[in-house]
Amino acid sequence: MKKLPLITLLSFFILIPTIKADNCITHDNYKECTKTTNHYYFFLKPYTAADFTSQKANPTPTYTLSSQYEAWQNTKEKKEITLLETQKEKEECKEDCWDLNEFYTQYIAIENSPNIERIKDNNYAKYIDGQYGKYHGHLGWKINISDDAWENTITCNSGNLSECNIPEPEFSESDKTKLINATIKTNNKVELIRTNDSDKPDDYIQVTRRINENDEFPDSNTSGNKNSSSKKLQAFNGNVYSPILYKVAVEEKTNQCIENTAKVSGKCNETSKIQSTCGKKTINTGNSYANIEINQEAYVTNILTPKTIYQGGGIKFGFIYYNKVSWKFAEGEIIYGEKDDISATVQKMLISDIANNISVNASFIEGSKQNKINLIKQCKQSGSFTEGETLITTCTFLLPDSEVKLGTGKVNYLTTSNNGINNSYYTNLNYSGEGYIKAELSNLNVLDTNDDWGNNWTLTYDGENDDSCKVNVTSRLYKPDQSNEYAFIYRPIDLNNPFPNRNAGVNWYDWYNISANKERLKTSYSKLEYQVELDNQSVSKIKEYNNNNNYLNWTGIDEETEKSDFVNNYNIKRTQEGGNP
Amino acid sequence: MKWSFASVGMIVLGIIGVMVIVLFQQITTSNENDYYLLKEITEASMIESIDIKYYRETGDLRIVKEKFVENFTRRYSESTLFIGTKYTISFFDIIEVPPKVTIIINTGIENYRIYNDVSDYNVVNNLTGILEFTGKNTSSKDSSEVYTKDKTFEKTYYAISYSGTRGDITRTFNEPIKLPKELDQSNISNIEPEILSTEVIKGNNIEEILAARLNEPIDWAKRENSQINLNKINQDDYIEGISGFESAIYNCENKQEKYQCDKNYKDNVWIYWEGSIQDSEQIAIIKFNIKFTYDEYEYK
Repeated sequence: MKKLPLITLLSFFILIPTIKADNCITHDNYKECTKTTNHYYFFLKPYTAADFTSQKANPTPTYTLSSQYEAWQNTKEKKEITLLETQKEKEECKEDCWDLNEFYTQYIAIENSPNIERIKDNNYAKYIDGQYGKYHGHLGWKINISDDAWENTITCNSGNLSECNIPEPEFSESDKTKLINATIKTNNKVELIRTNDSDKPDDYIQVTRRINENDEFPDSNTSGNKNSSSKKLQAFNGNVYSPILYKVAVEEKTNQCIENTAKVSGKCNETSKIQSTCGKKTINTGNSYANIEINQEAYVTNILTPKTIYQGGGIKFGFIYYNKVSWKFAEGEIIYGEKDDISATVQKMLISDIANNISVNASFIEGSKQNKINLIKQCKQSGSFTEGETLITTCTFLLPDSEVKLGTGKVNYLTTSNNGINNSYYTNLNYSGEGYIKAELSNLNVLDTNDDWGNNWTLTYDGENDDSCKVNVTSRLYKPDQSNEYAFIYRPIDLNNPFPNRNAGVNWYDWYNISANKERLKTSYSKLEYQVELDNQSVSKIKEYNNNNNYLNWTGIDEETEKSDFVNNYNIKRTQEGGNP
Repeated sequence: MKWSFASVGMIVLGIIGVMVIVLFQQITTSNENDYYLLKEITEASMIESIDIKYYRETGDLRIVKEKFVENFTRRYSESTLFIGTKYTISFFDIIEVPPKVTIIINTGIENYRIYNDVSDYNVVNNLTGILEFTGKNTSSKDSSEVYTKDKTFEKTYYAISYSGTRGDITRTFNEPIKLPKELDQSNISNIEPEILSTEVIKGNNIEEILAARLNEPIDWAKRENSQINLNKINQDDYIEGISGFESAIYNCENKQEKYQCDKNYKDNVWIYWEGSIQDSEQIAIIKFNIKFTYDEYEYK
């Protein structure tokens, strides 16, 4: 067996007290994971000579608060850590081995840390992330609960962390040895208390120190090394100091949303629904903690019409998406800290640009050809995503506006959708047979909860296997055998008897059955519309024009007036005698 | 002597006869060539002037008048080697829908001489051509067989009415519909609509409300309320029911007096309903299941 390097083994054991593997239990609509985090609270009380005497005679508590103080009530493990003084104590220490040097090192680090966290109302305290857990400084302090303000606290203007009045650190690294030499050991009681006075905040950490009877305040002539076990102290800045290190192991239960919906198959011209509840989601801002429940349901309605179209004709296709999402605090759960804090964090879960986040891929398949359809997405929201309220998101995914060229019928799709659902997608002129829609809508969740929830919110439409998304494209312009041979015929006719011994064709029948139209045909020669005279010179010019212009080119025909540049320029007279075109 | 004169006369007559024959042969051959050219060029020009845009939008054939005139003139000029005199091409009453063209080509005056007789002639060719879709029953001589009769098509329409007159609990709705695309074709006629069923859509029926919203711009020629506030999808904002409900579907030709018709939509089918609703601010969505009976001249 390979031997691990000694340092790796030591590191492993040092880390054990702080890290425990997450234990998770999966429920129907959430996952509950338990993790233990150690929190260390640093207290330091200075005593002048007079305070020392007074405290010795009559121990009085001081009051403070610190981060996550509420957790002290339910924790399984909370204790004062003995601060070791001698080498022997250190050698015999097995767990939570802190000495004064280490205490003051971390205390000074907290004082000089830029990190602050909210304790209560507009009051903050400092912290650092330490080797064994989180190390907390404490809020200012009060001698009397009835005092209005906290002494020496950090306040931030309206919660704006860039506008905080942070007292200057009292100590620096160079003060450590002097602090150690000025330290007294006291018998301490640290507890979270609750008052019932409705005019004052009701939670406090009460710290009561009892100075040993035999301890004396050092006089100015006292010198000596603290570590020599003499009880000789050396005052620092006229004070002696009583440090307390308090450990609270907080078992944090974190609840996460889980994915509990399957991918949904949609049908055309119907509404599909995706619904999911996240039973519990833990919101932990550092200052506040709560479990919330989130409900979300989404509807997607599709339209595909007509179901039968002639080849080259247009189909209308689109979606409307409707989402309702709301949240509330989980029932029966305690809320720690500020509700506003929690609400602000929950608000950040909303995806900011829903339209771009939702993915829509759609195609219209005609035979072997798959033609991508670019749908224009537009979304709007109303309502609010605050506790107990509902946020509604409505999106449309619609065909873009299109330009169809006069003559050639070439289709150009634009990037706007002003005509909305009335826009058309034009089928292939040459294809007849079965056409169908294939589409996938994904990322239909409007929240990013930083877990698996909503990852499966996908809706698919598969016209290959679902008749609702099929379109019957009938032959019309071309014969049905796909030969590119026109289905219509050209016929010279006799104006007096255009359809001898048979009925008029489909596009002529109703028109010809109107008497006025029959008469119009017979008198065609009385309505001269255009006339042109050709001689050798004009024919030469026209032949030259033909060399540079294709007969199928429509650019010379004005899209609005349908007048021909050629007719304008080549001496063709318009006589205006013709009837309605 | 007289026999020799007779012989000369016979020869001269023969020559004259041959000249006449040659002249007519020349004219008819030239005319036949010209007519053939006219026919072919007319066909090509008509096909090249088909407006595919119109076809895409309606399924019908249409030619663009001036594109036809242009292409015909260009093609005809291209096919001509030498013109002795001026050709005149005249276009008469071109119909774009259904496509029909009438053309006369006058080749101009030519002179001819037979013996000492000098005169002139001109050749005129005329043609009327059409483009025609043949149907399943086009070849039948019986016009009653042209249309396949009494075909049916069903469709759902959602009539959305937002508000009535404040204080007045009778709500009236009267709007023209658009026919479904399957029926909005020139080969469909004698459309008779009929209401099969109606249903009040309630506020908790989100699926139907969304379907109504999505279909509204497609199904209605003009709408009373073009925007339904989707934020208002809760029960209280929608009617629960209507009392004294009455509805009708009609054409302007056969409408009853109390039904509206707007001259801009006189050819449309209209839907009417009325009923008593307690809250004039509530949204009413009535779902109509409509059956259309129609005749179709089927394409081949």
